[in-house]
Amino acid sequence: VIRVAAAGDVHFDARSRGRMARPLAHLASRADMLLLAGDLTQTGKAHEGQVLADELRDAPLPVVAVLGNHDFHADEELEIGAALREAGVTVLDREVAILELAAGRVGIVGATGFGGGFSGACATDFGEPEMKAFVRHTAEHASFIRRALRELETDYKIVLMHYSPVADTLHGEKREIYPFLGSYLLGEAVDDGGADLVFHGHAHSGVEKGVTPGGIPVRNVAQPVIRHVFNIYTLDKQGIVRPAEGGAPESKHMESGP
Amino acid sequence: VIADLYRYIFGIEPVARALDQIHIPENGPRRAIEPYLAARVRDAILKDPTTGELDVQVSVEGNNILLRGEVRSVEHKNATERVAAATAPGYNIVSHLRVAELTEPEGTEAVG
Repeated sequence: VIRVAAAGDVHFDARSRGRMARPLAHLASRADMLLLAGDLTQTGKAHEGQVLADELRDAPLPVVAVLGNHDFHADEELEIGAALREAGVTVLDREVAILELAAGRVGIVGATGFGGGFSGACATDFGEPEMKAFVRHTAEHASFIRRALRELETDYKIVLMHYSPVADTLHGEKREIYPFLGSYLLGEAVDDGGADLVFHGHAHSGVEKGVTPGGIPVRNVAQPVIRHVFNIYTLDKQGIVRPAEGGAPESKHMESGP
Repeated sequence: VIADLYRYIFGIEPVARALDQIHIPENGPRRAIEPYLAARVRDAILKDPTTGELDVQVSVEGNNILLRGEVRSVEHKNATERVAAATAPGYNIVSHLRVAELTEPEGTEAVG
């Protein structure tokens, strides 16, 4: 069994000092890793990233993160990433991290993702260059996720992103903004590649639990949703979903949606 | 020239001349259109470096700017109210903002 602590949308700024360090000190005995699902900073300034980096520097467990839309706002995402990496955090931008645990090898596929919407109400790669660029940005992230999951040969596969791969976890948000909260392309990529669990944030008014159409559990760990500094999830090998021939994964996870 | 032609053809003063005589005070009191003002205040709350809050709903009722939603600390609440006031001078700020309390989780969830 592996134990995964996860949170999204911590939105750190200068006034956030101390919010993460204290709970982290208690986490070593309860989890094997901490995953952060983007929006690490409030306004995307490097100094905000530095506050979080200082909090995470002495973390008693591996910390893996992706960036969120807030982290890009001030065009200082490289500095934010550098500060976190200097503090020992693994920051994934369409990259894979592999953790070697006693319980097995854990592959974490990390990408921010992007929007576009879901079946019946989604943007398409058609029309003005701006619209095509919007959809293609999401498609690039989805393409990476699909490829990385297919190539991963680890005991556990976890996807970490900021935007949502499913509409399930957006319930509570205004439907009009779903296209800005996630995309079915991300969910399709997860189902094609096969994974055990997906974490995302971004949807503050959504709900925690969802599932992809292929049966993979999704957790929206945005702090305003989970109402905790982080939540802790356990996974065992029985739960692994592997891609079936032809790309679609077996649906071994039978959890219902939210 | 156009005004003279207009007067010659129609025998009346051109409308533009009449409009010239309507006084529109440049800095006089002008009621903002409520949905636009609400959007402007929300935008300011999101973009101001002291706030950056996404979870604040803004509405305008008469002379009141209503703020609802959740922020992360008393400092963020105060800053949000300050930015709203600065963006909509002359309006009353009516704040129903709540401060979120995040705790450590007591249990774990077995997934799969």
